[in-house]
Amino acid sequence: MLNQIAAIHGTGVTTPAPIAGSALWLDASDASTFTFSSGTRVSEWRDKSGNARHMTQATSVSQPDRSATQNGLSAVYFNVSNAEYFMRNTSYNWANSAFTMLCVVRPMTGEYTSYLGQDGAGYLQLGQDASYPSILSISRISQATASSNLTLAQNTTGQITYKSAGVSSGSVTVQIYKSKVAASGTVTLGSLSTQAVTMIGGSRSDQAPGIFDNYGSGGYLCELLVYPSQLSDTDRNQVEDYLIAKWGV
Amino acid sequence: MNWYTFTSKEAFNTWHEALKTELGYPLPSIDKEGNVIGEPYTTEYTSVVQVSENDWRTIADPEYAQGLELSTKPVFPDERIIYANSEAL
Repeated sequence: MLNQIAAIHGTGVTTPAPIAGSALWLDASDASTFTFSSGTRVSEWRDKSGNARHMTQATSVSQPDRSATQNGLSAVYFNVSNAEYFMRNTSYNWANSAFTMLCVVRPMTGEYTSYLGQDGAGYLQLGQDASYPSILSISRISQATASSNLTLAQNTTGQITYKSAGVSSGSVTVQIYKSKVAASGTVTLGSLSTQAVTMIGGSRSDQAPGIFDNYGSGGYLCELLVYPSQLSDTDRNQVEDYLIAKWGV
Repeated sequence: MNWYTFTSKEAFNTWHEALKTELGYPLPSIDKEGNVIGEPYTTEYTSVVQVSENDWRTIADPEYAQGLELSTKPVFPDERIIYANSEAL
């Protein structure tokens, strides 16, 4: 059953916390989950799920900046225009079994924006395609993109959800939602590999320093949760309501 | 931040190691109040990418790049294809 508790955020607004059982939970509003190298440049963003899947970045020029604000709460800014910011965890494979990924993002620049990805060509990425207003899509990094009918405009904050049974025999089918509204159909890609690497803010680290074949995420990441299952509509809506209310989407 | 070019990875390493020593790397890990917490996570200032045999590029703050040859952001080809809803499996 749902394990609902109250959470008080920086604005003084009380909203329900997301349901228990997340596999990864990154909350930009929670200052206690960050370690910095200097100022607001983030060297570690700690996972609140209890699974210790912390995101790290050891190279100064690629460290994101917890300098953004969304709905009165701190958000993490990822730059993509010159140096590109990204963070990785190298012990978590979120794509090889069922998942529901829910996030609040504000895309600003970049192409093939990645909200959550694995690392390198041929791996799965959840994000947007190359156009603006960008189409919510999934990608086999550097190779192919399958697009839904949903869009999220540049400089607009959105709550996006990706739900899937995971990659099986190299294929994946994903249902995408924006603010609880489902895309008209699922999106599917094949020929995928999976790996125990999770990235935020970019899609490839093999062309360092964070070049990602010239694509990546420019904008804010406010909060991101991954559940290791396909959430029921009731549970999914509960987490979406939490995110929408908290971040003023 | 600007992009700079080196003729070899060794030349980049020489510049980078000297810069890190000058800047005091590894940097301590700090909380939002600036208090030192835990082990240093930040061990590198920047990194390098090979564009061609004698073209290695890095990004750096201009104040740390005196004497380096200014360059441009590398461009790599991308083979990505956009499908309307799904890829033919």
